[in-house]
Amino acid sequence: MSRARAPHLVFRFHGVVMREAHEVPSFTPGMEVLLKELSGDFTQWLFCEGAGEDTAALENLRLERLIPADKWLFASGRFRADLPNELIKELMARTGGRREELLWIDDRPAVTSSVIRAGINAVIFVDAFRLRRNLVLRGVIK
Amino acid sequence: MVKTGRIQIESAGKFSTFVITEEAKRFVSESGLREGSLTVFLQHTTGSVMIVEHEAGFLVDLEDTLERLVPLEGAYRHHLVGYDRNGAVHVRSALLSASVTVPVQDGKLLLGTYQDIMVLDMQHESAPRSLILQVMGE
Repeated sequence: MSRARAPHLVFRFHGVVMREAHEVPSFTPGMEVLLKELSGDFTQWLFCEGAGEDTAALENLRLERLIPADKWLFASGRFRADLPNELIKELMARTGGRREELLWIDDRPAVTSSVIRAGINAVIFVDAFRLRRNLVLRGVIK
Repeated sequence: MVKTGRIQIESAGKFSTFVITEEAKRFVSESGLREGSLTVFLQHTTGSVMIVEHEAGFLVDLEDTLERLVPLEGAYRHHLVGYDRNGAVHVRSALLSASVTVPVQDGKLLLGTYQDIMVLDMQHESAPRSLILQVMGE
């Protein structure tokens, strides 16, 4: 059985890439290594909320080493409680509208459910180990 | 030995899920239990504790299946009490389970590779939710 590749991986910044509520910005354990591993073969998108705060954290983490700055998407604070429709529209515009080629990685199950209902595959992020295992099971990475 | 603990979860309600596997592992480890079992019990009638593969598609399937079986907008006699409009949530909760028990061996939970302990809260409003953790054994 062949497995579909997901050339566009979409990461939520807080919770997936960076620790939540951490005074000094730092990577979620294992995520820097995983982002590096993925950077060769896949387009990685990063979406953020609360643009000012996130911009400072992005600079501190030097995330441009792993995800080019033109692949960062900012969403309004409303996104915390709402469906990520505006973000999905922007992603569709930037990636040519192929929802099946996106894999949305988020630590909020309510968001992954919304995303799946919008026709996009999603993974609930718990930790980098489980995310890697999930990506291997899906055939995204070996 | 018997040791009992409590976890409080701040839930947004509606269909909020929380994986508490790591908290459960920590509780077992700190309890000193070597052989026995852990029980996780939700102290509410609007949710459930279950063993699942915590996977995004599964959660959508679970929500859709519960909606087919017990529609949120149905007519429920419970609404006759006058102070509650959550009849569907109570029925859903009753069909599920308020607790799970997981065996412990050599101080470790015997969960399978893809098994997680998940709490589901379906109450309409956000509220803190209480969970009881209890180990029994030696």
